[in-house]
Amino acid sequence: MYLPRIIACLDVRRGRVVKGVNFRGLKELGDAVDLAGAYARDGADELVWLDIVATIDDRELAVDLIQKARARVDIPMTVGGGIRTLADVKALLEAGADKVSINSQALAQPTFIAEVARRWGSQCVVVAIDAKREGDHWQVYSHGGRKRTRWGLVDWLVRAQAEGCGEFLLTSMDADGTRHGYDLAMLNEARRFIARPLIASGGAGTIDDLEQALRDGQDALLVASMLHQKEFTVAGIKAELRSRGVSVRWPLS
Amino acid sequence: MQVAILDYGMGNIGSLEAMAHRLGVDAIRWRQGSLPKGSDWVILPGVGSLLGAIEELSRRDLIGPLNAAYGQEVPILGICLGLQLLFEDGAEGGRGLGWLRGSIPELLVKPTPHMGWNTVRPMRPNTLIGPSTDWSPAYYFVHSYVVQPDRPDVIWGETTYAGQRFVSVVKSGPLVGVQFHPELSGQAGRDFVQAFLKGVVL
Repeated sequence: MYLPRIIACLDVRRGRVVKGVNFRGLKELGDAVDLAGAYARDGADELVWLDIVATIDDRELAVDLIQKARARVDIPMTVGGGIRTLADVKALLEAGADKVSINSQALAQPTFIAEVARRWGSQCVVVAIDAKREGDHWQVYSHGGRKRTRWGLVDWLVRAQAEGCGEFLLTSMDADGTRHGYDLAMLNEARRFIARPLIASGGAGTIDDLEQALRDGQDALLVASMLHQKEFTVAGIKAELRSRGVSVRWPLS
Repeated sequence: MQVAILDYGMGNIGSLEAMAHRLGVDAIRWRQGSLPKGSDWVILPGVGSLLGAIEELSRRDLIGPLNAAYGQEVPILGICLGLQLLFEDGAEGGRGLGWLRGSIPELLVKPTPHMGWNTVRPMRPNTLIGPSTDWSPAYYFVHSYVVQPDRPDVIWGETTYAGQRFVSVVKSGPLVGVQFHPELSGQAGRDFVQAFLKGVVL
C-alpha cells in the first residue's frame, strides 16, 4: 500500500532554521541538524533542507552540516539552495543528500536539469518552483520569489519534465506562511500536465489543511511553520490523521 | 563485522555508511580489485540507469571480482539498481550481471518514479520481512524499472504501486536483492538489514 508522505521542510541559514511569511521577514527557530534529527525520529517521511547560501563560506558550511545531519537521519533527504554547478550537486550528494532541489539555476539554464539527470539519474533531481497567481494563470518566480520570470507555471512544468526532472516541489507564494491551507487549485492544475511526483508546499497551518489536501488526492505534503512553531509534532499530526481514517506511515509504537 | 560497499560512482554511499554505523558494522569502500580482505558481506548499491551502471562497473574492472565474490557465496545485498543488476536484460538497453534469470521492464503506471513509502507483502513466511504474511512494514522506494524473475521461488516479497504489482524482494541462497532502500527506511530498514545479517551472514 502506497502511503502519502508528510515531509518536514527546513529553511536553513548558517545552520539555523528560519521561516518567513510570504517569503519575507525571516525568524530564527532552532539548530538545523538537531531539528532534522528530531523530525526524522518523530516520524517524518522525508526531509527537505533548503539552504540560504549567500557566499562560498556558506556553501562549505552547508556541506558540512548535511554530513552531520546524515549521521542522524535515516530517511530520505533532499537538499537545495543556491545550487549552480555540477560540483555543487556532487558535494551535496557525497555529503549524504539523496536528492538535490534546483530552482533559480534551472530557470536560468534549463539544460542544467538534464546535465544533473544524466550524471546521477532523474530520481535525484527535484525541480523546486515558486509560483504566484496572476489573473487567469500562475507565474513562476526565481531567486526566492524576488524575481518574476518569463515562465508561466504549466510551460515550465512541461519543460522541466522534458529535461529530466524526477520530482517537483511546488510552492504557492500566495499561500506560503499564511497557514490558510494549500493552494489546491494550483496543485491540481499542475498535476494535469506532469507524470512525475509532486510535493505540495505552502500554506499548511492546521491538520484540517493536511487532511483536506490528502483527500483531494495530493500524496506528498511539505510542512514547515506548523512544526517549527512547536505547536504540532510530526507524530502528533500523524496520530490525528490516523484517527480521522487517513492512512499514513506509522513507525512509532 | 565488516561490509564492503561497492563504490563505482553510482551509489548514495554516504547514506549506506551511516546505516552501517547505526548497525555497528564497519564499512569499507570497495573501489577496485578483488573483495577487500576481512569483508563478511557486500552491499551492491546503485541509483541511476542500468546501462550507466554496467559501463561504470566494467570501466573500473569490477565485474570479474564481483563474479568471483558471488561464486564464493559471499552474502550480497543488492539495493534498488543493485537489485536490477542481478538480472539479465533491461528495457532501457542495459545488461545486468545475469546471476538471476529474468527481465527488467519499466513500470507501466504513472507517476514515475515510484517515489515514497510502500508496504511489502511477504510471499512466504520468512525471516527477512516478518514472521507471517499478515505483517507488512513500509519501506522507501524510488525507481522506474522493476525486476521480473523467471523462477517464482526467488520471489520473497511483492509491492503494489498505482495498481501494478511488482517484485520488491528476491532471495537466492546468500544473494538478496531489494527494490526499496533499507538505508532510507528508518527502523523498518534497519530491522530488515539486521534480519539479513542474522539469516544470511552469521
